[in-house]
Amino acid sequence: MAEQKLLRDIAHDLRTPLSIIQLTAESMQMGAKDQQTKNDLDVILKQITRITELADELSAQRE
Amino acid sequence: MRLLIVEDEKSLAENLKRTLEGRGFAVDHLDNGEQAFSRLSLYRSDYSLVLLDLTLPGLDGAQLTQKLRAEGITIPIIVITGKSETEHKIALLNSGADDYVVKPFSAEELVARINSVLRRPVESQPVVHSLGELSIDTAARRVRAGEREIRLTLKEYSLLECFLRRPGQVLTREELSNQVWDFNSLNWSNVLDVHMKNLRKKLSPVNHAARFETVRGVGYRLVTA
Repeated sequence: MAEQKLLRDIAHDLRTPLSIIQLTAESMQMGAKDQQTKNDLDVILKQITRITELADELSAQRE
Repeated sequence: MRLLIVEDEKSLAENLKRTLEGRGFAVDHLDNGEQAFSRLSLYRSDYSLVLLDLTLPGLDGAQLTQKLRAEGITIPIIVITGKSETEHKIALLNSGADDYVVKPFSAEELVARINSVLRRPVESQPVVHSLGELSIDTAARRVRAGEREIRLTLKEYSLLECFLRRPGQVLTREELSNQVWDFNSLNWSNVLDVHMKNLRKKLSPVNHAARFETVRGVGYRLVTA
């Protein structure tokens, strides 16, 4: 179905910006001096995992 | 170890380059498949591994992999893909890629996969390379002389790794520069000599383990003392 293909394409297109955000957040976390910044970056990384799981579910859609 | 990133998404490429350089790799970047094919055809021995995005303008990642393999270029390739379906991963591995990472991925996972692929080439290379009492653990990135740990900078570590992968062999200045520095570095400068001097200095307290010999006009050799 065209709708499912669209959802899979969206899921696919989300992955590059997610990669950039993840690598940037990880790099900031390595250099972070204070605990609050580390915690904030943890939140970002956990949400990336959540969005990735959603993208995985969309990618698994069959015609 | 020198890597080539082939990635058309500028932000991702910059991020990857910075991340991998921070882990001690020398990294070059190209943004299209045709250029990558030319570079690898001409300078295949300068690179230890290619990190290849699947979606590229012109020649895409899968086509580039097939073209390189058809030319007999066996350099290890890790594909970065946005597709997580199993059949897609199988097709990638069957096309000649050595491994893949699915976006998004963590830097730790990527580096672990790079190290894993670099450990399993033609001669099934071990994780630990040693000469006499001097040894280097490429998984933990740790250098030891007997029980003593030696702390090195990223470049010194990369240089020593080149020597310990080929103990007793003369490595030319050009080979060392190509393996440890990226394409844009000034190979004619005395940077290599400075790093070799520092490396010798750090190894000198433990030079019963191994020592460098200068082969005049050619390069250096690591031998047992």
